[in-house]
Amino acid sequence: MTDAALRYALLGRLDAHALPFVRAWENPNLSEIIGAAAGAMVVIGAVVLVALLTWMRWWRPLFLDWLTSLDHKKIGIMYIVIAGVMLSRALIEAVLMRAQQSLAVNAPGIVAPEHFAQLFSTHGTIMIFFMAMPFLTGLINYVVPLQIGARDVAFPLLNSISLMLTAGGAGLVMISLAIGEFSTGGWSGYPPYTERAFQPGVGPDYWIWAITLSSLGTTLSGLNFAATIYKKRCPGMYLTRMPLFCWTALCTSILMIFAMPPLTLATALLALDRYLGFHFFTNDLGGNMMNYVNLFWLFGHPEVYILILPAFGVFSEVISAFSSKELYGYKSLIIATMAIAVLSFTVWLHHFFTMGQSANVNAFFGVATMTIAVPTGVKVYDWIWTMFRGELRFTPPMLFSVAFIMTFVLGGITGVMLAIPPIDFVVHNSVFLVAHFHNVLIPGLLYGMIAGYQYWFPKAFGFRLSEGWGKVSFGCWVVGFYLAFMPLYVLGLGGMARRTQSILDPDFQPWLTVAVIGAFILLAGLVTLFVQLVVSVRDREQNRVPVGDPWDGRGLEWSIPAPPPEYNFATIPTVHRLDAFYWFKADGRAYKPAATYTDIVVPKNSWVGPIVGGAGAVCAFGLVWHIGWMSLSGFALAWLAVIARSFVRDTHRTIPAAEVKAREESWLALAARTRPVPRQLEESSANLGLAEPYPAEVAA
Amino acid sequence: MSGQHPSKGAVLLKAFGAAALLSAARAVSGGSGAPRPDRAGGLSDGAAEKRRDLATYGIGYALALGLTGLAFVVVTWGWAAGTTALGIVFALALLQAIVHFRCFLHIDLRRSHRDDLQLLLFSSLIVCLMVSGTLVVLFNLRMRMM
Amino acid sequence: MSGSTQAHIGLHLDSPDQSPPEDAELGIYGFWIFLMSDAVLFALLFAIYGTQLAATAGAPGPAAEFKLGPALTETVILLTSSLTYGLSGIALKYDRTRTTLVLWLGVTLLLGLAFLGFELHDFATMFGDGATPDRSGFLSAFFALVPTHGLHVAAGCIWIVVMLIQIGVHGTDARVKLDLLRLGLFWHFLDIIWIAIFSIVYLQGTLG
Repeated sequence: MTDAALRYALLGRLDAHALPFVRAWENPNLSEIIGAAAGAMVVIGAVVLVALLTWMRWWRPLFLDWLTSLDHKKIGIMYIVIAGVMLSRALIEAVLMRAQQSLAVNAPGIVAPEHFAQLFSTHGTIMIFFMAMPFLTGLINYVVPLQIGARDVAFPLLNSISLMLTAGGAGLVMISLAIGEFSTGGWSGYPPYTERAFQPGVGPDYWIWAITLSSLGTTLSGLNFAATIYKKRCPGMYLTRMPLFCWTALCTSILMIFAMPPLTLATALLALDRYLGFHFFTNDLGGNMMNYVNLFWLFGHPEVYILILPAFGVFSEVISAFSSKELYGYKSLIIATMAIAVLSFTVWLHHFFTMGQSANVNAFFGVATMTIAVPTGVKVYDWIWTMFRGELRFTPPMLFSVAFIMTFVLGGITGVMLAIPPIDFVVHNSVFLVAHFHNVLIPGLLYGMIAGYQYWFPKAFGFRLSEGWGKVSFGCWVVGFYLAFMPLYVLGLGGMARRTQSILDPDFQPWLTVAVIGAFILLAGLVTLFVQLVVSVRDREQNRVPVGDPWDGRGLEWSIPAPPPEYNFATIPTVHRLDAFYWFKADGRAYKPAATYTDIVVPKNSWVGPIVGGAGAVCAFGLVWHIGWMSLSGFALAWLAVIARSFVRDTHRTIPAAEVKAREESWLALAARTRPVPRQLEESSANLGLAEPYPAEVAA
Repeated sequence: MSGQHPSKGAVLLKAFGAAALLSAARAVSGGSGAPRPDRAGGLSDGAAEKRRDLATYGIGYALALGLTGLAFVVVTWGWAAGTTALGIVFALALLQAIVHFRCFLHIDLRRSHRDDLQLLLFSSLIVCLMVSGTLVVLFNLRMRMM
Repeated sequence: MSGSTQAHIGLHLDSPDQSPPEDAELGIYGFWIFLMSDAVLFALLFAIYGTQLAATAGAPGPAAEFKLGPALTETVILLTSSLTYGLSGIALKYDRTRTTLVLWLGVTLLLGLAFLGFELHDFATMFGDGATPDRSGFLSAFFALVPTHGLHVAAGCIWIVVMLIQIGVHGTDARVKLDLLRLGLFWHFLDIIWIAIFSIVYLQGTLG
């Protein structure tokens, strides 16, 4: 075997030029230096992490308590940690892009065109697949089993596997900063641009395999949540007695199950084109790029509803809780949610109105798109009516909800505008579109996730977050959003295209300047969110809420201690109506011991998840760099782990009834001697997680 | 095998072979599977149930074989042509799928199977939307490219 | 089959001698959901095939390449394997010993391997004729659809082998029964997909 052949067999197409440091050394312009700095951050970050884990002796607990855990609560937290890390990176990329555009009006700016293209590609890919999806999956994971009175999701091991696959994909995207480069084809990766003929490098391959790992994880999560909600509700918890967050979780999981396959297929066929010379989407020999576009958006449209429905669920919970009122129009909200879920499969063509279909086809999908606005409107009115004449408490989650209602509606209206094909022809591919989807994603998805994080944090960790810093963060997020994105509507109507590294029209400058200021304020919003966390951990002793119900909540998740025991409920409750815990409290049946306690069986930890995720990531890396032995062994290891696991029989352990009883009784004793607080004092240290009973006339 | 169009003899031979295999299968399963008489009059219950299960599979197999044969025969013996033939073939395929669902997968209209049936019907809805949408859009694009 | 407390698709393992494995309902429902997502994947592969049927780009097309004889053989083999798998399920449900169960699983495995053998032979013939997937969109679509099904069948065969080993190691305990039920769903599902393949690909291709 020749030297070159041996080298290729061992290392594929890896070489020194894969490293951004080498590229910056050879070509030291600002753009390359920024790229090298980003790569350096990844390396330094990894080193710091390893050092920290070693110094604090956290390796054992990291692996034995967290990474191998099958507990839905821990898995949910880990998902949200991934989301937080990736949000930081993607937001910095956004600031970089805004800065570039504000500095590049008839000037070179700070990043070269190829670099800028990677930035918008990673920004979109990360925000959707590695920030939003993990965040909402994490929230659903944590909250839904608690709200339906279950001990865990239907398939805990599968849950761990999903998490680790997603983490593997995120890792791959992070590694692309330090080894190689990412795709320049946007988060949608349209061929023929991303075909081998035009992009023979590693960029599109990183994108394909990172997304494949993520989409596999998501499909499995959707399956898990649907099975959980269908089959693991506690006695008496009919579907029409579930909290609305569970309804939106159910519809989200159905969307996940049916919408991810088109994406898996689109990227797989693109991979076949790139690796084996197939002709699905090539320019020649019978390829058809519209097949890709069609497949991608068959996924892409339901995907955005996957992103928004959990946020709608969070807002339903938060608005009801902090209006001190039951959710208005529960049945109409359910029907609206289901309608949105089904309709979301009928509108995908509106993402490519301009790509050559006849006016009739466009019109059909335009009308369908406008129809989806109707159930969404129903939900907005239901939330407003929930607030009407309620006792409103403006905690940070509630502030985010109010801002959502006002701002999201603007974004929705521009969406209805875009649904009209003639208007879309004018503003398609301009920053008007960029403004629209950020206008629905940031106030919609992101505010929802932040509100959910802040609302359920005390339940998960046993202490409240600092409301002061929460309000500062809220201010930054809202002001920053308006400043960063409202100018883009004007710019889009003025003709500025999206994804452009250089700007030729000087009239755009003032708006671009406002937008970059907004971007920095958004970054401040993120930073203050982290400050809130640090400050809250520091002050946690003053803010403990061990009894578990800091907000006078209505769902079953508030009926257990904070943080909850591993098995969630000492005894599985039986519910008789909607807002089960609210009525337990009203009827005086809350905080009562059970007649008997039984042994509780919980899953043992397992290495299968981390092995599958890690092996999957290794396989993907090998595919990117054409390292055959790496891909084969990664693939084989993942499957061997699954097969080996199927032979194991000792997969559960028992928590004895005596231990359950002891914990429960000590918690009930704590509740008995805790002073309940009225709602007005819920943001003070007096709040130990026990709410004052309602006045008699309200309870009836 | 011979060229594109199997001879009538070959088709019949396969049908006989399958039927023979089926009867052999019934004989073998019927023989060694007699349940213990562990309840009052239980012997006949278990055996009757087993016969019913076997019959379901057997009928399903026979129907599926027949529908398959019919589809091949329509095409190779030219009982219809062009789009009509295609329509018949697809209809037979749909029928056979239903036979599979009913006889092999035991889906029916009973309450206990409601969740599964619902999932199947919803999936079919989504599949129809996606496939028909894809075909309409892509053919529309092709027409406009001509 | 009557009087089952577990509501799930597929054969119900409640005969006078045994009760269904705990959580069969949940485990099978979850797998059924997975199969539905797989069904969407296959449906879209069919749709892509439909849109690229005419994209033969001068390379061999369906009329030249699709031979109905082998297609019919493969169909009968796979259908029979569905039957034999069902017979293994009946053996699992009613028989005292595991002999018939293992026997029918083995027959199913052999039929599955025979199916794959015929299919690989078909592909080799096509390659010999120069009908490789890098020649045209139509051939790409064919070679994405049919081998994906073939890979699923191969995975199913590996799964049967694993189950046979499991029966040897653990007997037919609850987990093994649940896995056999799920494998059954998988196997029947693959046969249903094959119905679509021989109709939409082979028969349609011959009608031209």
